[in-house]
Amino acid sequence: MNVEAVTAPGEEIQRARIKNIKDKKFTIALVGNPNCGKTTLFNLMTKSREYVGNWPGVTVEKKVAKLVGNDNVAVVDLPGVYSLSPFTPDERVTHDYIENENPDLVLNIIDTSLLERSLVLTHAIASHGVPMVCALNMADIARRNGIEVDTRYLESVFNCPFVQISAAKEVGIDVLLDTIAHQLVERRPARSVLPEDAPMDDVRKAVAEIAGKSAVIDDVDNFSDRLDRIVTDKWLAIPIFFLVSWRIYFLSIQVVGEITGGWAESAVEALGTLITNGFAAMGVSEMLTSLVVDGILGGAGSVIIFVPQLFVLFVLLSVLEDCGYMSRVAFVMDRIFRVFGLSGKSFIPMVVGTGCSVPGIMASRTIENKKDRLMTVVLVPFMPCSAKLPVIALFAGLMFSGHSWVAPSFYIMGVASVILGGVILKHTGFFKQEPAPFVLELSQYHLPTVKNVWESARQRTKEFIKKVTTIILAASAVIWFLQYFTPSLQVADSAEYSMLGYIGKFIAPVFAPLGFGNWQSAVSILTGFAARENVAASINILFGSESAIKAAFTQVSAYAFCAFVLLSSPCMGAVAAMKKEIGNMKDTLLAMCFQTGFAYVIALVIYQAGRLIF
Amino acid sequence: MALSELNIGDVKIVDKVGADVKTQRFLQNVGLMPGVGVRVVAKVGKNMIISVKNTRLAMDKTLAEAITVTEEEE
Repeated sequence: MNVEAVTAPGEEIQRARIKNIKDKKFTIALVGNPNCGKTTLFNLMTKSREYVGNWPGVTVEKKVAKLVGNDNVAVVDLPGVYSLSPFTPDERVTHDYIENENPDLVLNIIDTSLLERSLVLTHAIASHGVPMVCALNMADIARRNGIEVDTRYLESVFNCPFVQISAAKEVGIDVLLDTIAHQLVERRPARSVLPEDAPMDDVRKAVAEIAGKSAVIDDVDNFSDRLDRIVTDKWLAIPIFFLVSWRIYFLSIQVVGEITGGWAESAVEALGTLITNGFAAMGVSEMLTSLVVDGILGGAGSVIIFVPQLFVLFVLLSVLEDCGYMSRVAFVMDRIFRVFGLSGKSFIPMVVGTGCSVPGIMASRTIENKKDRLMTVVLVPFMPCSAKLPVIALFAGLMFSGHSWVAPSFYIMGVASVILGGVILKHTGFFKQEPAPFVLELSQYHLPTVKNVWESARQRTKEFIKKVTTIILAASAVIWFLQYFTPSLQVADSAEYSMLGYIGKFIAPVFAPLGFGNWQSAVSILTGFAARENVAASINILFGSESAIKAAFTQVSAYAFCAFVLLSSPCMGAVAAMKKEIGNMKDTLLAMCFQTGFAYVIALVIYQAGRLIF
Repeated sequence: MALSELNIGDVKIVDKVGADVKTQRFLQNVGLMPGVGVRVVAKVGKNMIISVKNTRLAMDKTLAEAITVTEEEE
């Protein structure tokens, strides 16, 4: 069907299939309140895999992708807003886009259960006179709660179509796309009930009246409320949270590790033997064999075996993020954090940071108070991200077998360091201030969708594998090269006299008071700046065997080493994310110095105190 | 009286919201302002979860004490 024909004068207007729009490029902007399901819908419309979570403010930057089945239509996902006035950084993104970029159509997404307050934003968009389609999302949940919306009435008020959908269950999407296609062609400007500059009080009054006429929305005590009384209970809240986190890390790291760790390791070893023998038979030089087996396989290979554990960790984390529990944790933690002058809102970035610091640092953008936000940015890297796990797991397995508390203890150390670091930062002039009052919107609990969880875990696992097969592979080769040759490019008799040996020996004394003054540890720490996974890879390459690692470390020094790797200035990627939030290089460097200094002191205390006790 | 003094299940009308401009703006955005009904969903000490027109808000003691409600039931 030709779109031109559909709109030819006099012809009966039919709903055009969106894929028939060919002659022109169009842009659709997704706008809506925080946590109304914009990104879920965006992913559905564009087959993208953007990060989705069940708390307000997951999307902090605009995202653009092509509409599925039609490259001429671009879809823009914008951070959630309540109005079009620019106050917070993410509000500004949305405001500026609507003001300056003139999208061809605004797709306004409304959480049906929260119709009234969503209409304030609907009014603001409508008064811009831009063509609009409204999607009443989570219509299924609303209907279950007895909410029936009179869409005809809303259509007549705002002069634009209202479509009931469920983005999570993929219901009503076809009708929505048809409606959008139709509206793109017809370009009927939406109408607002009041002028654009009407006082806010008048807008709210008008909107309340419209909402009242279009639906009866009762406030009833529902399942989410009953659950909230349990998970935020004075006595139960903290134990529940620790039980949940303990289970997550125990399941992924310990249980899965025990199942897969053994055979994954033997598989890598067997592959090494196979290559060594194969290369020998083919007459490949000893040097090349060493590069492949000791360098690449010994380094990157020792990290890749963590994929099953991380996959399970990512699955469990995304279940946690998707179900709605995270914002409750922020509320619960606020009680504790406030004692130390931190806001409970810092806690969501920290939990996200256990996957990777970069999204964790970005998640801090939902904290309105600038000082609270910056402090969170500096403290999030203290959490054990997935890249630090290989080091922790390596030493936990090698030096502490049978002590199941060791791996989880680094999570407790992470949280404790955040608190301690926060207290220290509070007492330095810049951050001295009471945290802003805590108020957070709680989303309704819902069962995580298999699709979201799978996509999120798959995406994060893919990122990890990508990093191992690029940066870490390359770093492994470079490390191998530097430890195979002397500074005069002769084959080194032993790694100690290689280039790397000299570099390591130069830095090593710095770490001697922490218990790991050997050159291998020093070099491993250096390589961790490119990517944290490198640390485990380097340790494996440089020591060459498990017995060599066991000989170089005591339990206490191994623990101090892990603590230093955990807390010291994060990898390049996280530093870049930090710089973006902090805004300038000087303060970013200061933050890195703080993190590394903090790590040094903690590791020092662990080693020196531990040496006296054990 | 202060919102923080209410018990679980109480429904009252908001009278005044005493908070900094930023917080007040957020509260208005989600529908909490003088004249609307609030219901107490959960209480942890004086920290609480309330419902305003189906929006659930978690807030700390400081804020709950700064919001006053009228004596009569909604």
